[in-house]
Amino acid sequence: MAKHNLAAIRGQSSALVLYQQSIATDNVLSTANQSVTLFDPTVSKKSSLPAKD
Amino acid sequence: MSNTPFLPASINTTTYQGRTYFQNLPPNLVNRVYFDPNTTNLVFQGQFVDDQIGEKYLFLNVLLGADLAAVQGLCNSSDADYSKWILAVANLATPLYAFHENPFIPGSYVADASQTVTDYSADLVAVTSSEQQVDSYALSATGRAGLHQLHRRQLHQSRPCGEPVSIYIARVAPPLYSDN
Repeated sequence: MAKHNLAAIRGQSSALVLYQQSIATDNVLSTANQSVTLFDPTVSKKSSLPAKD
Repeated sequence: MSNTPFLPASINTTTYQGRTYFQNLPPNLVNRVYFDPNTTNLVFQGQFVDDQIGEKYLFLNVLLGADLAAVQGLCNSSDADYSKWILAVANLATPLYAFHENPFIPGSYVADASQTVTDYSADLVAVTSSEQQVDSYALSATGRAGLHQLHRRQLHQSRPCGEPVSIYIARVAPPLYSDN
């Protein structure tokens, strides 16, 4: 949802973080250098349950 | 008690609208972890809460710490199927598919198996490509300061046509908003 005059992310059909200064400055592509993370917060995670013996 | 041939007998369950819920889970999990008898899948999902009074918020699809212990603890450790239950909880996962246009059938899109990423219950489902199919998007600051550039666009025929391409530039700076 849009907060503090920022762009709404939820509800977009497609999104991508193109550039992050924190990564570019350190010149290392690492999740540790990210200043933001784009993620899917609601997709279901599933696991198959085998039948009981 | 369980009445399905799949769930351990020591797990207390409630059936609602064709799904089997676990009544001993805490309120933040009780509606998001369930067993689907039709697919025989244990399911864990995130939830966007559109609170009409307070702020809107998310229950993430990440299972760690006390939440993970609560789900694992549904099954009594003396249950004969305890190890199967623990394994099923550990195997909770989602594949994140990336699609590209089928070169042989223009206008149709197929999943690129080489780019499929599997995220498990403890993993944040990080989106690294706009070609990845998602249920919803969220963006969170990690704590590091800096500028970032966000690009949103419409790529696939499966997505609504006519949406404009937008680029946003934002700055992450302390203090980060902590919410409630």
